[in-house]
Amino acid sequence: MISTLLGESVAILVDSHVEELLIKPLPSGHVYFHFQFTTKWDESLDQPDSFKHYGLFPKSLGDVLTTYKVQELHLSQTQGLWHHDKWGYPVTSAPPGAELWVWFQPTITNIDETWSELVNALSGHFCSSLNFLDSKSTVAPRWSFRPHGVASEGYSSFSRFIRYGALPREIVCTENLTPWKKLLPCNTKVGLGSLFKAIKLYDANYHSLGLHVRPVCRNSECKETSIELSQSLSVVFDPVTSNWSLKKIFGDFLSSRCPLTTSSKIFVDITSNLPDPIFTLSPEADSIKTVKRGDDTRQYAVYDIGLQTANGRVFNIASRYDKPLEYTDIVKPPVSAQRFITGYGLEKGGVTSLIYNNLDSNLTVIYMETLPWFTRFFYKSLTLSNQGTLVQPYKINYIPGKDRGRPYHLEIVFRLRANSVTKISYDFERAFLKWTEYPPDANHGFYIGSAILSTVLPTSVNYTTPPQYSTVLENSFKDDSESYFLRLHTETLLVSLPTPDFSMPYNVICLACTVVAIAFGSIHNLTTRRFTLLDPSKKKGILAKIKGLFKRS
Amino acid sequence: MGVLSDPKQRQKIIKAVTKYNKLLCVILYLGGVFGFLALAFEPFHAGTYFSENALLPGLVENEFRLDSEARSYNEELHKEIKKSDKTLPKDWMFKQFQNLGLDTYYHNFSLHYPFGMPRDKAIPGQNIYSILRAKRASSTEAVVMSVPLRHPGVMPNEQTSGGIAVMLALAKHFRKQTYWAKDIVFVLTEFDEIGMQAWLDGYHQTKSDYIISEDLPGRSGPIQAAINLEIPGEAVTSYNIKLEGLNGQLPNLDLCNLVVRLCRKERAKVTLNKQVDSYERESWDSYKQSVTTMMYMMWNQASGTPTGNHGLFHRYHIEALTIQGTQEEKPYKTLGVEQTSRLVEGIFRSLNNLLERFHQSFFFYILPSTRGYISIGLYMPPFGAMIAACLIKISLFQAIALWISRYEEEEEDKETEDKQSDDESQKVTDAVSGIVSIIPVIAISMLMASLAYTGPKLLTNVSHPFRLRPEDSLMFGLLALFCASVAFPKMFNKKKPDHAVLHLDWKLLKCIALIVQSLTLFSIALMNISLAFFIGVAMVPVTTLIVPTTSRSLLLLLLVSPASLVFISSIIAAWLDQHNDISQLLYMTWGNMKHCIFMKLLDLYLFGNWTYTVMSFVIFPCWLLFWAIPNCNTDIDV
Repeated sequence: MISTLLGESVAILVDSHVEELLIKPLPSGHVYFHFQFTTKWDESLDQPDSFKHYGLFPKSLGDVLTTYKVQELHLSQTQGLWHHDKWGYPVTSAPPGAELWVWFQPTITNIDETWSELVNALSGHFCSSLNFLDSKSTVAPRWSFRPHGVASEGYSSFSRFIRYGALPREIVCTENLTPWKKLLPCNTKVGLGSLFKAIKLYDANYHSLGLHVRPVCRNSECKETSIELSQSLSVVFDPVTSNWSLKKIFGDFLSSRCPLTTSSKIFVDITSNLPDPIFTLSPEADSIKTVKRGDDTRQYAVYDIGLQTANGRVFNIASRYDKPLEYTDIVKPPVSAQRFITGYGLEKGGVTSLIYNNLDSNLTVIYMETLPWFTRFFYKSLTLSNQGTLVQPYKINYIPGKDRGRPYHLEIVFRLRANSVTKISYDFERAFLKWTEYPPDANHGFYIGSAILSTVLPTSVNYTTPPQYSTVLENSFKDDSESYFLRLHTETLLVSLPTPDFSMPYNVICLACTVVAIAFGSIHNLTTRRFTLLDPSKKKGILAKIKGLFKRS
Repeated sequence: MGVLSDPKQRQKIIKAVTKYNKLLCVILYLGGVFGFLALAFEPFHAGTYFSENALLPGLVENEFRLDSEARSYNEELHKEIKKSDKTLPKDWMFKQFQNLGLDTYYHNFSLHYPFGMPRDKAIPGQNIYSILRAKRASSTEAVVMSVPLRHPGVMPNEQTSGGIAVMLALAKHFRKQTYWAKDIVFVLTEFDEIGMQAWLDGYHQTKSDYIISEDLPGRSGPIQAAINLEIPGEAVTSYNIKLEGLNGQLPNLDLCNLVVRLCRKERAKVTLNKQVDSYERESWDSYKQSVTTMMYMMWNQASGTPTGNHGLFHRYHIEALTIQGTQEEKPYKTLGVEQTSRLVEGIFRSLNNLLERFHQSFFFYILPSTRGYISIGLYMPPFGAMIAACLIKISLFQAIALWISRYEEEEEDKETEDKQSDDESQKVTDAVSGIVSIIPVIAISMLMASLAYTGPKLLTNVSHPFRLRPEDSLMFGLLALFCASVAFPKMFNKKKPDHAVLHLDWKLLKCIALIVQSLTLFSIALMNISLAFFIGVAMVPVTTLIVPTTSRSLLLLLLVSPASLVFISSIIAAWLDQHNDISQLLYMTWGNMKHCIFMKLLDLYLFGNWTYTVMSFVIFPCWLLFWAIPNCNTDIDV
């Protein structure tokens, strides 16, 4: 009886889990570690009733998804900025701070209300201030964020079902890592998760937690969908002396694989060892894989954690450089961006974005910008220019902001000419806030979220993102597509607003009281007394005399 | 307030003011000037303190241990500089920064020299800068460490190679630390301020007519503070702090206090404008020392010219100062590059602790020593008293003539001998119809002012065909303009029989001129107290006391004309340069004067210095208004 029940439940719960780690030494001397955990569950998000028997998929998250009718959910929590110029492209791009974008199911009735409930639920779930994503910082992008998973044409062509919000000021730390790692089937007890020591992780130059849920094809026919939960952790370390090892970076060895995984592997990008080796890896890789993806050929050393940690061995990958790294000019990635505040003074300001196209071909890009209401954007001042000539954008989607209600939202589709720099610039006015609207550290400044650049690259140089159909890294090794979707987040900006001197109230109270005490009486007297002309020669009546007597006293 | 509501008391006050007017003026003026100077006495001003707690100066342990690296950088740099006496080893410096793994860039700019040269000819320049990306932040904030690149030909004590060595050693040390929350930008600028302005223009995408800056290839976030180093290659004996920025702007007092505190922690001697604090506190000698320090500071501030690279940051609301290494004959202690590195490390760690921009402490202050400050709240009352002397004078005329004319008639009945002048005023008001008579004077002075302001551009254009140097053509041209303005009352009424004098309501004119003067001085004082103070000290006594048709008034007014003010300040500048011999002093003065006007104009064109604008467009027309007074006739009938 029990065995039949078990057999049944095993038959129902079809889910798989893959853990991977991609290690990529970057030309700037930094080392990039990307942990990828992918859980695929053969259940459909359209049928919430079936979300009853959970296996590897975390129940807490499943409940959130079904309650709020989520179709796709993308959350990233990041500390530090990804420097595209030096590091190329990450596996998943994320802006500094927190970013959340969600596609809701078409059956939803009140999307704004559901969004606000959802962000509150996620806020509690991930210990971050996502609940601050209210109408003042939420937008519905039209072109920049298409569904990542399986979606019908009719559904994805409307931006009705999407909500996007970012918190550039959110600080990411241990309290965000803990709930995130609890969603892993093996937590941090065994497997790659055992390397997550907060004290080491948060010493990194860049650190990003990602969580992406989307429907994917269950099989190649794609008649049914499955849910894919992709959790990723990216860290960039600066080993100072170029040599690195897992022990040195994470403070621990690997001693086991997660037994719930179908595959657990480590890939080390050794392309820079071609043609002349500049570093040696120990122990030797289980296999060397040469991957041709588009026009880019890369070589990976593949380690199977299961094999390496068999028989209770501890496993540590170490890389030794024969001679100290020489810093040279780094080849820029195909498309990169630089964004900054211009001008000075506290009345007006400007933002300029420089978008570099280092390719020999033109590209069509979508540039998205979300400005908080207190930086009042001037649409008229928006200019796109390329080496002095104005660029006419194909399309512009602009939703003006509303004071204390709605952010300014701008999406521009335009052509990026080959081998050139396109400059997008605009002016804004700094609003004077109400005194209760200032944060405790008002003079620190206010953050403006990243601008987002989306495009499709014709080349895969520097590109590491797995293909559309699966987030498993290994799948990117057998990707034969010829165009590569790229999303790029620019810098967040810090603007100072005109700020009153908050240490003044005491002085103001003193001054105000003095002024009131001295001036009020006499001014009140002057303004309320009635002056009448009296003729001294005229004789006063008795009544008036008595009155006058009383007035004197 | 009872005063306002009671007309009798009001009248009493007015009477008192009019009766003792001269005395009041003198008392207010002298009280103001001496009160201002008395503030330098230590018991009369407050001691410095830290307003911003987040700075936590000196709380962290200094970890800089790369003494030998700092010294070897210094020696290597010295060798590299010696290789050529024309060019600087920029590539070597670039390579050093790049080898440390920092984002290092060249920044090109070009200078169109505003005087004489054809516009299309440009002088090329190149800055080097390098960004250390902070681990704990996403490049949203930055602090700057800058060193001017100076050519090997300059005097040894003006060399800055020590600063570059300090920078390199610190860059090497800083890169290994994990606590940075703000990016650190190391900037090496060519042509001192010009390179700095070009870099700042590039960073903020601001435009300048004469300095053309290329786009910066890399950037960080808004700059929170900047420290400029002028440290020679050899060991120094003390650190001199330079604060005065463009247009007299000063950095936040907290930054200055921070540097002083950390110098003390390094047991290094620290000076302000090379003036050492005296040890005693309440003696005559210490007071003299304080006044000297204060006057040096005010002198620099009044000029409106930045005393170093730091001065250009202030406009962008970036707090900045320069630490200059100075060498003395009898050193108390020598400080090598390693000590300087430790000092700068301390400063940067404190700046790194900042959570907000500098905003807590004072932006308007005068420093009589490194341990005390005179805040705006202290220096404004004596300054106000000084200016009030003009306003009291106005009340003499205006209180009677216009303000409360109702009482004037009553007063005229009780007129006594000392009110003779008021009688006259009445007559004149009747004779020459009030405001109409003075409008031409105002118009002429505005015209002259605009000529003085726009003239230099024209003058520099003609200097080439006349084969004059731009300095000379400017000097002679402006002098000619000044002479023309001085002669304007003579030409004013040519058609009238007695054309040597002006026919106008001089009292009304004087009232207006005094109001204009006090208004302008007050507004200048809000931005640059030193400039307002010096102009006020010179002009207020003369302008309040002038009366028509006396040659004494004429002479005195000439003495405080803008031209003579420039001359006097040039004498002082020459005297400060230790030229005590009279003939040499005068020779230097002439040179200084030319140089001064020339440099002020250059500053105006390159950096936007206001001093020339203020002198030509505000002070000059104001003075011309007064100039009409002694030249006018008081007893005429039209």
